[in-house]
Amino acid sequence: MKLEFKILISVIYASILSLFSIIIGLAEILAFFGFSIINAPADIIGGFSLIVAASLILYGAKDTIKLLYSGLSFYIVGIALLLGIGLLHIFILLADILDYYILCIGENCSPYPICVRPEIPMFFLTLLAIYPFIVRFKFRRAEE
Amino acid sequence: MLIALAGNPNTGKSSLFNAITGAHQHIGNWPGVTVEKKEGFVEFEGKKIRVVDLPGTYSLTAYSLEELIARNFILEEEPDVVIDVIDASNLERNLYLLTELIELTDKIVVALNMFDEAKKKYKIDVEKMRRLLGLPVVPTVAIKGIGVKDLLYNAVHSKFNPKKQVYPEDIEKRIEKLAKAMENINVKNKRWHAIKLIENDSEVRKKVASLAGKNIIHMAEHFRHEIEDIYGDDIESIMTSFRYSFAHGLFHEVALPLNVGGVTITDMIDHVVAHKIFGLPIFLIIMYLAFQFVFTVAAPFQDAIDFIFNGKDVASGHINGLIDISYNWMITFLPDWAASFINYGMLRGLGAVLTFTPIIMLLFFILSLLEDSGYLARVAFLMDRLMRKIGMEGRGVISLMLGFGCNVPAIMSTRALKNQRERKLGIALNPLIPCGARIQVFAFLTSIFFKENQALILWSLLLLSMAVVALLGYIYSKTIFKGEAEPFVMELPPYRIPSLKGITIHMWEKSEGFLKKAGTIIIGAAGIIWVFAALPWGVKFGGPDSLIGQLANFLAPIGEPFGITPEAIIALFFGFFAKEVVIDVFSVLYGSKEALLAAMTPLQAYSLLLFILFYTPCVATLATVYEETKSFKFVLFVILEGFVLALLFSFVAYNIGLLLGVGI
Repeated sequence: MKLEFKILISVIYASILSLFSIIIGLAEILAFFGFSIINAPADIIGGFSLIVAASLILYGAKDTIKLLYSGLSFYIVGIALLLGIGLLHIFILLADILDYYILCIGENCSPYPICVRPEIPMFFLTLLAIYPFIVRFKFRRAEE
Repeated sequence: MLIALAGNPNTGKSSLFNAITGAHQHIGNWPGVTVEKKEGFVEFEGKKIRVVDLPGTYSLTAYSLEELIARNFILEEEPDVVIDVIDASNLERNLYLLTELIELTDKIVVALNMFDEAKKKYKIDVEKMRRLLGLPVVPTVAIKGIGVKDLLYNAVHSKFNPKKQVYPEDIEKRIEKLAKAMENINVKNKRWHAIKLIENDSEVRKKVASLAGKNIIHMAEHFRHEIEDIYGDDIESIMTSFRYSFAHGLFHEVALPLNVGGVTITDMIDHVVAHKIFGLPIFLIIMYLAFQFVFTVAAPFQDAIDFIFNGKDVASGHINGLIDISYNWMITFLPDWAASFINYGMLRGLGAVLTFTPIIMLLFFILSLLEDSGYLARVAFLMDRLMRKIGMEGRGVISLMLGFGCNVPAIMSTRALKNQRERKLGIALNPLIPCGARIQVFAFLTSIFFKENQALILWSLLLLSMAVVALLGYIYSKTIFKGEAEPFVMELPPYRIPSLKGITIHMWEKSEGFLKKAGTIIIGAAGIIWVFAALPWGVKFGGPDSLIGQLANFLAPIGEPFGITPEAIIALFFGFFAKEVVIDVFSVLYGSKEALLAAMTPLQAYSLLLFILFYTPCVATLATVYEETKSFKFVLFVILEGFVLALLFSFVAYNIGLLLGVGI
């Protein structure tokens, strides 16, 4: 498979992921104002973060397909932010579990009711979109 | 007059030498070596000038003969002017040598050679470069003789006031100590020698050892190991990286690449995080994510500390914590009041503050991570552009950012600002930045009243403080501290994965003070508050007849328009000594989070948070303000400024909340 085609597939995949992120982000913002849809958590800044990260990916998508650094810059920062957001929620989940069992000392508690935020599966899905970063040395400047 | 030409190889140095001296040249060898030495003469404005072409070098280490010749000539012969010939079409790479030359001598003229080629690659702001460097900068095309007269004119007439490279504080203080230790040794430019000793420069080591013995060498070795430990890298890489950061920062300030994007990962990331539209939202997101991380990851540790100190109520009864266990033990040999004072006064106060140390430590961990990775420098770069509009240069922004740790060193760091106006502006604004102690109080109150939106509330408070600082700074710079910002190069180090050891050392250095304070001032303050709540004997502890209750009744009308309860006013009063004491007061007076939750509405708590955000800084900060300004009026100004803002925001938020029926 040619490099350009692989990049094209990665960027299309990342763009679809970005659109999902924007939908989830909007839902989180709306939930904050009391309009709960698709069971999104109420998190205004969390939602805003998802939208900004996804916008960066979409903003850089066109030039990334053209193998230009200008596009890749936005693409990788957007991907890094999505990964960062996902990683944060993994930490939050682990901390919540630990906290739950600390608070349970001396009591009979049921097992921790795990509730996974959409950012966590998004983290693992985003890992699949890092291909353009791996082949970044094949990219060129705009004027060349 | 003697002029030396320095520069990287292939920068057109020889062409410039030829253009300056024409046929009046003499070619020989440098003494004792076979490196070619070119010397020439030129007459300019009636002055006979001797021009020496130094060997082309990329740096001034002691690794090659060329480097040694170049630096020894500048150090020993002390030329009247060194012209640094820079290939302007490879500007960033060539700026590295300039950072080293500035450490060696003040009298430098920068020749931006091959300027015609450079114009095809970037738009270079020569005037800005002059201002930022404090040195004359002259565009030249040596091969065509363009700019040569201008260069000589600047060499003869210019005044030099170079902006020196400033290393991070942990390196600077070691350089300073070493330079001081060399006070009685006969070497020129002691700072340069100190830097080179820390860098383990073999030639300088030999020279200093022969003049002063081994003690200074051992001291330098010790410092070197300490720095390597802190930064988790070898000294050469560390110092090189700081110089490149300076070069990279200067390049970003003065050159606008005509093509977009870059090749290195650092360039690619900078292209986005320093972007005029995306830069700020990205910064806000990273800040929010950092707070989320800090609060949620700290929570289990906080609950564990709380459990250790206070125990807990369970269905089968009460599990004793350290305080109860200690009380039950002490009651066997101490009177009840003494055991109660030690355990339910001092120990409970200490426990209350210690519960919030995981937040502080994680906050400093994140700050160190952002700092060591190189991102914080970009934040400073990003904010620098905004802050210039309020009349403050880059280092002022850094001192404000240090305020998030502690206002005392942050105010002291304004010493780096040469301009007195900017210094006063920095000192006046710094107490409005919430320090780590205030953040602990915010964490305490938000964990009780805004458990679901803790990070959001804290984030909004910090944004508010930054907005107020920006607005006040703008007003001050147009009125009482009138003037423009001094030019300054913001250093931009390359991004790197920080070492865990380095981050941990930095985190510990920053948190240490809080832990020491917890063990001294906080524990003492908790004891005093207990006494106020317990006296006169026989009354209900903390009740309306106790000293603290009487004081609360007396102060109650003051807090009413702001929704601040009498107990909170007492907490604010004690908070003047150290902000963490606010937590002490609430813990001693209410005993439990539930009791505190019942005593205030969320709206009242938010009003209190706004008051704490701005009201007078602690006594240590005020003492530092006096030390730095030697003016009681200035101290009074800082107190007044804080109170006016606190009263204003608290009143507005509380009354709007009441009108809208929010949080009541």
